[in-house]
Amino acid sequence: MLFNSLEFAIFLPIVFLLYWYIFSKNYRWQNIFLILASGVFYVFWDWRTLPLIIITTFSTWLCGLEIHKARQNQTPKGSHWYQSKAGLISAGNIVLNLGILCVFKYYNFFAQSFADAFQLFGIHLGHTTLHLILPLGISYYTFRAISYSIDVYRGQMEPTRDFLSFFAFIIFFPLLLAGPIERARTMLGDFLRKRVFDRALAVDGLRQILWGLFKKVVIAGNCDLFVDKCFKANPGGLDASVLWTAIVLYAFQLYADFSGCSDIAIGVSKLFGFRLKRNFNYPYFSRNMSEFWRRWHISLMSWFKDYLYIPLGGSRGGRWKTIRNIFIVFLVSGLWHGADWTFILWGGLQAVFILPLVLLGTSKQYKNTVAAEGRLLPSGKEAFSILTTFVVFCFGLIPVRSQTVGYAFQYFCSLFDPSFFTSPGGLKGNIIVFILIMLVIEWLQRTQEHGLSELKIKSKFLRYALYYALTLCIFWFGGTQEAFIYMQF
Amino acid sequence: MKDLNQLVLKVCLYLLPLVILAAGIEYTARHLPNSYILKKECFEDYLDKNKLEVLILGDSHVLHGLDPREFSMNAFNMAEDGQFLEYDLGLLKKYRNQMPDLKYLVLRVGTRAFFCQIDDTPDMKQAYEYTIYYGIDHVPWNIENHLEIFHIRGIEKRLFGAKKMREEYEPSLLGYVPHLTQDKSITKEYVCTGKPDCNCPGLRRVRTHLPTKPEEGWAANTRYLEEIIQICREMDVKLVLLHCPCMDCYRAHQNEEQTEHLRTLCRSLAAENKDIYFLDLLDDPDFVKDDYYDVNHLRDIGAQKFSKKVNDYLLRIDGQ
Repeated sequence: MLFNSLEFAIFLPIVFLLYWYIFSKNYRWQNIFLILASGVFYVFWDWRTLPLIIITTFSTWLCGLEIHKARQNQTPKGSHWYQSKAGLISAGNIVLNLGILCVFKYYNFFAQSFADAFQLFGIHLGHTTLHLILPLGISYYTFRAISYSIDVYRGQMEPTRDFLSFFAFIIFFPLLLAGPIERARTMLGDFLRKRVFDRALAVDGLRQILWGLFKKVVIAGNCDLFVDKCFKANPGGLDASVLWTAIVLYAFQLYADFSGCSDIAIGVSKLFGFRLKRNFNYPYFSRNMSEFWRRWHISLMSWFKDYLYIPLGGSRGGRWKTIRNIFIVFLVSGLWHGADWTFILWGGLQAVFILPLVLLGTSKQYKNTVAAEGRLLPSGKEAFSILTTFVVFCFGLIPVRSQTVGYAFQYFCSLFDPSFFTSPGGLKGNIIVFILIMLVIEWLQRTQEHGLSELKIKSKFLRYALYYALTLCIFWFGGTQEAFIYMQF
Repeated sequence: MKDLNQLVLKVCLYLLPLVILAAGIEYTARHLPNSYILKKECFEDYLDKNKLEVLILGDSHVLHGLDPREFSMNAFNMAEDGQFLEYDLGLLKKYRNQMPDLKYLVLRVGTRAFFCQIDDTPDMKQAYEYTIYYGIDHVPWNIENHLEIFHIRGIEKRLFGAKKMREEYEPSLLGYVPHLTQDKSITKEYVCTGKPDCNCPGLRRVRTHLPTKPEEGWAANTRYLEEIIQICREMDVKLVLLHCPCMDCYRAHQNEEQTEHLRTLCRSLAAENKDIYFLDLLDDPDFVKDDYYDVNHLRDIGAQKFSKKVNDYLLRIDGQ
């Protein structure tokens, strides 16, 4: 059941009405109902992987309690995690969760890569390929579970004794498809108290859902046709102008798809009384790559920062250690996105793009500011920085969309050809119009949480005209692509 | 609770104009002519006024290839572009009681028709036409097949071209849609090497016809064929399995194993059943390059030749 499907359009109102009218007596009933609704949502995909999420939930919940107990009875033995019972339990839980993730997502990739590596030395290794279905949202709920056990181990949060609330947190259906990776320490508390209907929050949620649907269905859906055609063809046989257009459209497709999915997930959560953090903060208005990565997939990047970058030493161990840590974070991030060398290459490229900023000490230059603050239009310098950052990001996307590393290299080389100055054939004008609409709205709203929050349009008539226009666009100009790109990650 | 009630009411009021608009579009779309509506009207009118003796079912190969006016008996072409056996069966079931004089059912056979299923092809986008206009539902059930509103892309063309389409639809063609001589699709010269790396239009077309799950397709389509055979028996109708001709460059790239598998089935059915016949014109040398509109469809002069051959065959059976 996708967010942009008819099934979900029927499912959501039913769940919403039952949740508030029937099950709002106390938080336990609310949680039990959310578990049931999420179970239905999950089973719509594939019931066979449901036991996995139950195993993850139960083991993590139990480990949380055990870690807490061990911490209370702990006598200081040493500063390392492996010198304490709590540390060992936490590590065991991480190994279990990552183990499940690795088997389902990475086994085939690593087995094939090992076999290929040995093949280089003339050693033939036979390996078995597993034909496993990728459980829905495994990368997302595994990371949520891991962050819980680490936070409990670090003493940053108390474990919960309420299994149902914890289960409701892990299986919460809006976050199953493609996150955001909400932490237990910020969200679990909401599951442990009764949610009271907040009309303003629900209305904002509806607006956010509308904006997310517009981005997903109209922009991502229409870009897909052109992009898919180009990336299936031999890049050498296409004009450079077509290749440039395809990669720019892919950048917009990826953003519209993923930020659209996040907007819908956050909007739906608001309908049920949960206020989640934003997952995107208008990344295409970033002025350098460092700012970009503070604004793109915020929940994942902050996860990696807290649970990988900082434990590795962050930027405290000198320049070389910082560089090493940045590479590790981005390479792991690439691997998280997909079990393929193309994703690892993508991660490596992102680290390379950030490197000059780290070396020059300008990586924190645009922290907590927005482009053209207090002005309608950016200055020439800002516009140039925004455009340059966008182009750099586009280059980095080539491996993500390519089937192989060789194809990505061929695509990259074909970009620099005199045919760049030709007109890209097959590009429909309406795609450009829709992208411009999105960019204009998001630019005007760049200090707000999402494209339709707290609109500055005074006239109620005009506001509703905009809502209706977006709704009609979704029905009339919806593209062909249905599934969310980030679901496969 | 008051806040909640107000929000629910407000959302309903917001959606109301959209629902009314959607209902209006649905109603309008269902009353705009398209090839399915016009053909249905024409066929039902024909059944009221004539004694149908030959029914032609299949996909574009027979839709553009068999002209019922060339037949000696009363014939009607009920084929459509991308019409799979599932829908051939559905149409036969729907109209069986209205065709008491039917003597022959001419059913196209081909590797695509037997190894593909509509779900795995772009033709799935027209499955809803059969559901809405003929009441033939597709399994698995899907609400999108029951409503025009989900298929309104290009409705403006239908809206503005409705009058012209109805005026231009020619009932005297009896369901046949000719590819006219001047509309020849292949204009560029090409060389077909018959090898997997050749760049001829035949290979390109074959690639678009490749089945994704051939075993499942075969199992499902042979089941549909069995049902068609059963209905023909009950109606005392002779079934003619027709293998249509195609250009050499298309033929050269077809999956030979699948072609022979299909031929074996058709031959054995014809040998074992006195009311089933197999007319195999796939490799008929009488059809030359100029008979074709494109690599696997005949144009009007080719269709004339093809129709005569089929008619002669029916007459031979009739004379036995």
